[in-house]
Amino acid sequence: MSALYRYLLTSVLLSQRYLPPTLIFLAAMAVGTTSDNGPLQSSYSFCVLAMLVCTTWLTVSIVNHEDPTQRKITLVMIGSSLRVLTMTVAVVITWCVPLLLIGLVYPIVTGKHVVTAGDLAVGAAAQLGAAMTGVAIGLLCSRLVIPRIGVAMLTAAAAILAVLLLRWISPIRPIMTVLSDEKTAGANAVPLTLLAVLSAILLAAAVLATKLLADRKE
Amino acid sequence: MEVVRLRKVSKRFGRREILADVDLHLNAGELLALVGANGSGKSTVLRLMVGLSRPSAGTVHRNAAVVSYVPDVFTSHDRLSASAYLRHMGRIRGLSTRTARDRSLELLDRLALSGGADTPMRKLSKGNAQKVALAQALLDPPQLLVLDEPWAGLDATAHSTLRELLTETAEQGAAVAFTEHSAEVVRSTATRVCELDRGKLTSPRQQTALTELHLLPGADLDWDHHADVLEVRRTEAGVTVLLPTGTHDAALLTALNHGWSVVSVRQVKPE
Repeated sequence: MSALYRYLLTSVLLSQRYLPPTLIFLAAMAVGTTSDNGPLQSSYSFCVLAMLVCTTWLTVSIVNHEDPTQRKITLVMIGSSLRVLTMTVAVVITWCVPLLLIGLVYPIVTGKHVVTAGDLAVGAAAQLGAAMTGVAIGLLCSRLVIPRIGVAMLTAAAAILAVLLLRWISPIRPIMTVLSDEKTAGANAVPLTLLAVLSAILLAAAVLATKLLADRKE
Repeated sequence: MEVVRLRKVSKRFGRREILADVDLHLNAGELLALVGANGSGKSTVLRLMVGLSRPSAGTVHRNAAVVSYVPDVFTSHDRLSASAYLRHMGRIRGLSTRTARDRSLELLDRLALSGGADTPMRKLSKGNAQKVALAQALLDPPQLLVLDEPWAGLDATAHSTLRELLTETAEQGAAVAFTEHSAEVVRSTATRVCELDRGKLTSPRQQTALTELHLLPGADLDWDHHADVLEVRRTEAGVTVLLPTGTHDAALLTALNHGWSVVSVRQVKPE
């Protein structure tokens, strides 16, 4: 399995498909958090929004990068579409790690904040939750489920708007609300951890749904 | 040993019926050619065999740990070189890096990949990409090898190399199934031919063509106990060996490797 992970990771690295969403994330950080001097958790609330959009884009880019013919060869080699999809998600999550680090450090470097270990921990949990929700949306909008890229883009945009505007449709809106409530990191740690766990469950459900829908096409 | 069996398999895409009640089996050591017009369901049968598709009705039973598949069109936009790609594929198969590298270079050399093994995948022509697709399928000796029109796009030299590779793979105990439109290729390679007509399997027919090899002896070689040989005739002028068409490439290779000389190769009809 690690051989498949290494192959997919190398292929994505050489394709440079990760660059546009990464650059957009950096630009969003520059616009949204530079010179910010409010509570650090409020800055992280903006990072959650940027993370959601960029990880959705990143996931669609990485999943669509794999040639359908090559995917068939890989599927026959591995013998399980779920294992192949899980490895693809592992590669996407790997590319989310640098975004997460940027999202944690950039507001501290460019703004004026009181930084505590607790703030960093809740920021990491919040952004990880957003990343997993973004990956879940990206999977369901990838070529495996929606073959037409135009329809996929519109669906992804609609899904992102829905999770931002509708309160309990996903953990995103509650995460942003918790980060903006000006409570201490200690008080926000438990709800944000639970919301991150909920995001992980959402991602697992998206993986299974994508597998079922992709398999059904065959 | 039966490697794949399709029992009463039907396949529908929406209202369109692609396959209807297909009963087909494939044994180890067999070279099965699936023939039929475009849209007759050949590729669907191959996809069912390797598990890429599931039947709408019926069952597919597969008894192979290592399954390889060569799709009809193989294009890659990877920046990886052909050798690096094959190394990755070998490692996914469970080979060590060294074994994967050696095996991929051996196969690429045999298939005569133009431009060399370091050519990026996205710069390969259709035929060369097809050679890489063939190489990935043979990195780890498969128990089931399925190829969708593998000769398409290959140059004349690679045609005979592919025939040799398929024959060798079958001789090693693999079940090989392929689709092909050229009757000549089917006749010279397959040991069994099945025809599909609008999703229905017409009665399978045994490949009947035989090949006669006239050889001048070299080192000791017991043709009487050689696999596939049907008849051996010894004369003062040499030895004549009769065997099913499709297995003759391997026999020729064996003869040449043992210092024998080939006088003639002739296709004959059985009595």
